[in-house]
Amino acid sequence: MARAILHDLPLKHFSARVEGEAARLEERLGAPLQGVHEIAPAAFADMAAALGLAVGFAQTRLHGGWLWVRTRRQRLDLGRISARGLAALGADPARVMLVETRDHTAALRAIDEAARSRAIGAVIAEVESADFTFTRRLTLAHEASATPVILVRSWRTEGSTAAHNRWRVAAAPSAPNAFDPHAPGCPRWQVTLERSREFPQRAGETFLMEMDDAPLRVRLVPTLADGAPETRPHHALAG
Amino acid sequence: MERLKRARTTPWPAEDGAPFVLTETCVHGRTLAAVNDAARALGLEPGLRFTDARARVPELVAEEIDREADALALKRLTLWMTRFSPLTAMDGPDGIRLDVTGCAHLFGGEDAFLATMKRALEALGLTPRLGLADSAGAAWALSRFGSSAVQISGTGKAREALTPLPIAALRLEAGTVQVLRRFGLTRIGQLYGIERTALARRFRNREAAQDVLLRLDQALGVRPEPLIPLKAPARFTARISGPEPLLSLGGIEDALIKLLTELTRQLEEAGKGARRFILTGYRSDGTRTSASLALSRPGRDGRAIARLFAPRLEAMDPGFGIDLMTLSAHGTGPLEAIASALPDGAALPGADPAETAALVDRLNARLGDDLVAIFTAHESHVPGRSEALTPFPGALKPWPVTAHRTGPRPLVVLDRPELVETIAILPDGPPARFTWRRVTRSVARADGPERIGPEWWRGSANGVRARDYYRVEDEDGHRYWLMREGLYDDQRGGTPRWYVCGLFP
Repeated sequence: MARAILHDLPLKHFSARVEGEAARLEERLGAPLQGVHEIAPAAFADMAAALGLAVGFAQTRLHGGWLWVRTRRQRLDLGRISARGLAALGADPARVMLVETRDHTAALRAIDEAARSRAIGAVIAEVESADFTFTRRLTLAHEASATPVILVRSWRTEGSTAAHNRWRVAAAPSAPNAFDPHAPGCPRWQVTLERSREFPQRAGETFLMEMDDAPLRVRLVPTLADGAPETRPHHALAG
Repeated sequence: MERLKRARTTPWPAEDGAPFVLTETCVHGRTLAAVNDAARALGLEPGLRFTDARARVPELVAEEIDREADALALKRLTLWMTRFSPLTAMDGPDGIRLDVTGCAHLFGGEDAFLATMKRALEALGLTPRLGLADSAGAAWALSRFGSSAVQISGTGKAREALTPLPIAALRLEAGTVQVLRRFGLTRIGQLYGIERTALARRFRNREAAQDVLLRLDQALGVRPEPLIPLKAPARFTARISGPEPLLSLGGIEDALIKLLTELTRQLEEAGKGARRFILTGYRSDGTRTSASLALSRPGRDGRAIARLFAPRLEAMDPGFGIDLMTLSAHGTGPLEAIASALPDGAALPGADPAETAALVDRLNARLGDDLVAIFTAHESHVPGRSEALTPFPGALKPWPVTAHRTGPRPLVVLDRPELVETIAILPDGPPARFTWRRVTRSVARADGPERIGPEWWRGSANGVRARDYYRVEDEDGHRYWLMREGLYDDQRGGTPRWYVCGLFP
């Protein structure tokens, strides 16, 4: 299954000019996060994957706390964010300041306020909807404060956005587990760069990403990694 | 009676100038509790039986008194009176006591002070009787038995002022007053000349004698009579009163800035900051309105506090106009207390505590107190009890190192475990397929179990079954935290059931 996804990666289509941009995109995934990002799950069931990717993105910011904004309704629909679940992804739960607002409007206000602050490392916000005007506000706020914003949106998300990138995430079968072939390994996601102002040439591309908790960051899976024997140390069970 | 007149929505039963009484049912039957001026002029007094009163004045209009509503109104008025002095207390069913030490000069002397107070109370539709003296007892006597509505006895002149007043002005019981009258003692002045031991000897009962001496001493200020204020005053308070009542939000904002300037100066002098600020507006109709602000750590930055207050001010309703505002600081403490709270080396990288706290304050001010929360770890192996959210304590705290040592935990934990239908159950492992939220999923890979036993020390262990947790992945790559409640042969209920407890990313 994973092999099929890798096969779909349109790496072979890169022209010389795009390759420079390609290199920047790959670099960007490991470098401290910047900009306003939207992450939308492909379906409701992929919401956990979208949140996982958001944590992965925020992880690249080594300094400052994270302000995590969600509404009460999202807790009832989906569930609570778990500190130990964050720790299992290699994130420090102590960095998280969680805001659970009464309604959607209050959540938008909180995000807006946080995006303008320089005090924190990243804003992670679960929002039902955010229109173009609001995302534009956020990009302007980001330009002033340099605080990255990650909007985790609903699977229904479509239409235009002023965010720098919109990623579409679907869960993918996890990496092979070195200790037990029948157990899940490191989480993997099939991530499509749906819209991008930062890398417009690469919009529409699909990547297979793996949450590697050893170096604590998101990385791209090498094209042949899935078939190659597992060599790196595995932490999923060691934790 | 005047409370009734203001609170009433139905037409007043008696015409102006007609006798009207409030009655109360007590052991002797229905008696008068309060009378108006017209009724008093006809010789009706509180305490008279209603049938006797009706006999004397056949056209008398009467209503039942509502003591509870009266007490409540008095309490509200007592709180409102803090505009004149921070120390106010209710005194009996119909009085308010104020400790105005050092307050009068703010209003331009004692005469002007009482005149202001009288005007304010009259504006509320009350007919106040005011007494001001060195001691609470003397003031009580002057206000109730003085010849005019406003009586002031100058410093050290309480003895003279009390001389002509009747004995009853000493707050004595009716029986004691009766005994004294039998001796021919009707005025307070007559008691001055009598030897104290001689006075005590005239009473058969020691307590009555002690009572007379105590009340006399209290009235003369010989024995102290401390006031227990209805509300303890804040140590740091600023107040501002305008010539015109404030009606607009803009006026309140301007007043707040002036108050903050004064309050922050006070706090600076004391070298302190406060965690809570309360802004109170005293409306001209005798009610109050207030807004409060909580900070995550003690602060005294006037401009920042004014900005945080801004969204809260909308809740302040000026009504018919606010003529006095106070701002008080609570929960005061040293400013630097939290900056050093993190142990060395454990501080979070790059998290500027002051700026982070400022952001949290802004969010809390806009969205509601204590909305921003952080995770705290608890010593429990049961997933639901091992962590909690607590209001932001002023700074981010390091996550305890020991708290990491659990099995894999999902990023999202469902609010309550959701029952799933299982197909193809294996006795020692997760089901091959399960239906959650109407979708059937086939398990491709699984890891577990992690068995979590009930906490037997928390009682009722018999009803609680051990739980086996599995981390499973379906064919599409979705990862779940499945739980089986109970074992197949644990003899504690029927077939174990399966739940989804959380979602792995």
